[in-house]
Amino acid sequence: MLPYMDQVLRAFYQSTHWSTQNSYEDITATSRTLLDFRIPSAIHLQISNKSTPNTFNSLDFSTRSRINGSLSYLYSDAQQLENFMRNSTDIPLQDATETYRQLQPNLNFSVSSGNTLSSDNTTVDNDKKLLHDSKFVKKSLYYGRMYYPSSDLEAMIIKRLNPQTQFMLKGVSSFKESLNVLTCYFQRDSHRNLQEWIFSTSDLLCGYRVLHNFLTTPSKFNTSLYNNSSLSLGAEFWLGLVSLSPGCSTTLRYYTHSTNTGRPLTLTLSWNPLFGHISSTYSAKTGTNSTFCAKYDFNLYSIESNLSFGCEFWQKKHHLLETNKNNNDKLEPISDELVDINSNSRATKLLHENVPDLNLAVNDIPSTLDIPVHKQKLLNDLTYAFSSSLRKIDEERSTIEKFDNKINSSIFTSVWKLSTSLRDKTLKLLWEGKWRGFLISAGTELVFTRGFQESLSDDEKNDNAISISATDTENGNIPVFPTKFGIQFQYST
Amino acid sequence: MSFRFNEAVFGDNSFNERVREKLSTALNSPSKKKLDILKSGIKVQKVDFPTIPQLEILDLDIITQPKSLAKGICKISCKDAMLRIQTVIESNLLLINEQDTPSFTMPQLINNGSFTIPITMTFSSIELEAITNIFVKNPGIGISFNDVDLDFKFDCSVKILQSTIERRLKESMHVVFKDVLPSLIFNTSQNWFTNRGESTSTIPGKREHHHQQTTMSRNVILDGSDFQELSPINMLRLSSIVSSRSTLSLHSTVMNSLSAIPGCLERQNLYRFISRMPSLNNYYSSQSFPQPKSSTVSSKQLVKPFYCSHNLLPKTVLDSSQYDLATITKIQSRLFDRSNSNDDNAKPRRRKIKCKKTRTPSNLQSQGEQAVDDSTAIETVTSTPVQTPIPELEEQSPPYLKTTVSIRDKYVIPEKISLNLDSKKDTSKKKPFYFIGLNSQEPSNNWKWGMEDSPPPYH
Repeated sequence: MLPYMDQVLRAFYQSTHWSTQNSYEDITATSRTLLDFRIPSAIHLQISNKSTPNTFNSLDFSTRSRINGSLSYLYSDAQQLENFMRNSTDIPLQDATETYRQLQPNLNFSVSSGNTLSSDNTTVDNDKKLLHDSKFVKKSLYYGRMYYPSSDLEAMIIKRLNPQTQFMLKGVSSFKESLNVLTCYFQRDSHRNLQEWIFSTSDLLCGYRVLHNFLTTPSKFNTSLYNNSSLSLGAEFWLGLVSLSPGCSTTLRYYTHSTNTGRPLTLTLSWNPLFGHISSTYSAKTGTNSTFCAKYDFNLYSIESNLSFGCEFWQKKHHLLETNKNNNDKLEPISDELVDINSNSRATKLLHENVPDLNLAVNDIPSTLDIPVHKQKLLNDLTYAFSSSLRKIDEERSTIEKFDNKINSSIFTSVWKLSTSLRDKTLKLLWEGKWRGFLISAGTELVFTRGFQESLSDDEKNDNAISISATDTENGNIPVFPTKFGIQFQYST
Repeated sequence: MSFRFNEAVFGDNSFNERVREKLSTALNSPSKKKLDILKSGIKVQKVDFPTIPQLEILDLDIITQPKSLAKGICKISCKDAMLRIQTVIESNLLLINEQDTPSFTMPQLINNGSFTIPITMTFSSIELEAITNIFVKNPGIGISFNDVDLDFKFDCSVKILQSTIERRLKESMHVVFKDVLPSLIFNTSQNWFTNRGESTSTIPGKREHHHQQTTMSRNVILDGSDFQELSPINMLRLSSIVSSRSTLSLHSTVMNSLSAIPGCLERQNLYRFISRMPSLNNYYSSQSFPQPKSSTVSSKQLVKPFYCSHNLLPKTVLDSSQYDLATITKIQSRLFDRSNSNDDNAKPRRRKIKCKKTRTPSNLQSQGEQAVDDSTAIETVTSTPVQTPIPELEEQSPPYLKTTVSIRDKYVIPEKISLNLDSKKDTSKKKPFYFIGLNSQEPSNNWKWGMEDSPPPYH
């Protein structure tokens, strides 16, 4: 589950039109959320509340051997922040948890030559956006958190300096360990590139990150009729000045949709030239209720390899689904709004409807221009061919949008997350769901010791896992033991 | 003084194995905070001590304070040792930094996996020389290293890191000798001291290492079994010396016998010894003479070194002619027997000298008789005795010379008392009186007991 303050932060980004998909840090976010999801390690309770439209606070308790807690406050002067925040009873599960990241193709309609494809509505939208940008008001966010009894402090300030830049300052102060760390981020998003300059006082770490989006303009050739993919390349460079420890990596990401089913898939390939790590991931949303991800790691120098595998299974509320389909908008007004905001640059009308109706024109114009009949026929054929290709694009797009809408509109009650890694011999299990207004996530991490192969094969062969574990405990060598397990409750109003 | 290790311990490989075990357990002890850079335990591959380490005790002080058992200064030296350890380190320092700092402020790095490198470090030809202060107290042993001279060759499997590691090692070495080793030794010795009582009370065979500790602890302190190897007589003597030293009582030394240790003579008993020596001087001076001169003579005798006045007939006796030939003969023969106690068969060779009866034949006769009896005047120094002419008797000669007739004999009696009479020499230049075990001819050195610097305890 996303902590409440992360939800607020996400809402802040949405309200200030800051896209997080361009960040190099999140270039592998999909595989990371599917493979390395966080498992609570204690009994954890979070109670949050939106006291005013601009202030939020949250109270945390966790018990592991003793009671710890934290108190956090957040203030932001962003407008309409409340539109993006919902309490724990109303929030859809797919927004409350980290899951497959759906990217919007980065088509810059307002400036590129793709204006022809955009409808009047979008141009109006773009105009509005431009208008909004011209009157850009500096927005900021202040966040503070105090832990007790250790009395550590966390603070964060985010300032939107202008439509393209953002400044972020994070700090941690711990009295006990006499640890004070301050980290500054300066981000500049020029839509095509996002550059970040980072400086941290721990080890005097300096960093530079850049992400470049290819395919920002729709293809002029009709080889790919609907531009539903995005290709990004990013790199990062780090240097710790105290220990003189360098670090760098480069990553390529390709995101597209399957044309037949409209389901999204993401491929990434990242390479660390210093230490020779190569890791490739493939993530796909195979249906509305399942996601799969595979990751293969390989080291060029030590020839070590690792194969990780993760999946998600979503459970829907079946009895509501039918009614949902009938009147989608009324039940889920916010999600629709979200869709609008997410795809604000996208045409709401179908493309082929934008094509001037030649038949009508033909009816009008030939009377004045007196076109010959055979030419008229040719013209009709041409328009038909043109509009049919456009129709094909619309079909593709409609399948994709249909799929997106289907996911956004469906109400999920719970999700099972599983991930395993061959080299580490671990199995992570996480259940997240909604229950009476509480967001609950419970999970465990299992580590296989020596009896890993046997137990796995046995589990596959016969379902009698209990008897196996019983015999194992009798023998005294338990092949599986949990390294951590916990449960987390969240309630917010 | 020096300390010798049991060579058998170093002879087989068990010592090296034991050091290897101890070292690996110490390096991988869970109590110590594990460094982030280490990805596996430290494995001690090889330990080699080809030569026996030397421990030289420069100073030892027993019973200095009421609680401490011993205090000493030692010199420890060790040569040509070799040590090889192996571990796995993390080469991605950014990852370690990432784990150290809280995740809130740490920017997330892509593909920043760990990259571990196995590393082997070899320390060869280690030479250690250190002067240490050792305090043995009741709960443990405290050692402080004063003057440490350590040298080793370092070889690392990762060549890039070799120079930096070597530099850091040498920098941190003084910490090891100042803090780590003393505390380590103190703790282990404390364990031995405390565990010894435990392990003896508990049933034997509790654990393997428990046994080791008991055997180790027995070697640390002297046990009752160790005293059995020493001779009880020596211990008795030592204890008497120590007791006399601590009480300042000379009771044990002042006994009826002249010397506590046979064959040795102590200085304070010297006059008593001389007074008991059978000699003419002693015999006749002990008799009381009513003559006024006798007091001066006796006082002169006391002042003068004793060797000036032995086995001579005092002049007063001669003048008053109170001597008795039979007693003189008896004294001389006793003297001879005493000096010649080794072989009983040896008989004194007596020579009779006929003197011209020029003035007083009776006197000369008596002198000749005395001279005959005085054949035991022996010289040890000259192996080939020189035949000295018989001195003429002079009227104006000193009274001592007048009375003595020295007859050189061919007797050579080694290591025995020699009473030397040389008529030619002046009385002040007379040869010293030799005592057993005292081989220096200088009179100032003759009567020293022990060394010059360290006086005997009951002086």
